[in-house]
Amino acid sequence: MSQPHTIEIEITAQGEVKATVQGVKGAACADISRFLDELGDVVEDRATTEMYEQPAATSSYTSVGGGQG
Amino acid sequence: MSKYKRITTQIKDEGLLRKALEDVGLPFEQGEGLALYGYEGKRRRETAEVVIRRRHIGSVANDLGFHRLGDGSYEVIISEYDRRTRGQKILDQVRQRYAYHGVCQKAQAKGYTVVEQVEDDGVIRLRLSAY
Repeated sequence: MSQPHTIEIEITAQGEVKATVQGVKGAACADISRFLDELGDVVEDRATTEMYEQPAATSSYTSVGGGQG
Repeated sequence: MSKYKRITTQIKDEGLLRKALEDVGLPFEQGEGLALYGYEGKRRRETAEVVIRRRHIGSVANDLGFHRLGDGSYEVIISEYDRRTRGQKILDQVRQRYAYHGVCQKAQAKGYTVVEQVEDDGVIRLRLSAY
C-alpha cells in the first residue's frame, strides 16, 4: 500500500457493505478496495472526482486560466 | 473521496458464519445434511449444514438453514412466512455480523488499522487506515 489512505465502511442492517476509499489519487485507487469484493456481489462500483486527478508525484504543472490574451 | 463501492454480502466462509451466529446469540447446529423441520414439525425436503431450530425463532416458525453448495457458498433456506417475520430479521443480523467479521479479517490481513465507530442506528461503521 504505497499511499496513506483510509477506507470508510458502512455495513447496513441488511448486511450490505458500502466502501469509500479516500486519499488515493489516480489509477491506484481502483485496486485498493478490491480485496472487499470477495465478500459478495459488487452491485455498484464508481469513481468519484478525486480518482481522475493525477497522483501528486507524477503530476505536471497545469495552467489554470490565462490564455493567449 | 475517490471511489465508492457497494457489495451485497454472500455467505461463503464457514468460520465467519459461525462467528456471525455466535454474535446473534441464537443456538445453532452444525453437521452434514441436517434435516429441516417446518412449523408443524414436518420434515422438509431440504437439508442444511448449519441450522437454527424453529423453537429459537418463533412459535410458528420453520427451521432456518444454511445449505452448503458445491462451490462452497451457502444457500439460505427460509420459508416465505419467516421472510415476512422474525426469520428475516435474524437472517439480516447474521449477514451484517458476517460482513463485519469478513471486513475486519480481510482488512487486518492487508495490514489496515481498523477502528469501529459505534452508532445506534443499526449501521456498523468501520474506518480502515493505511499509513
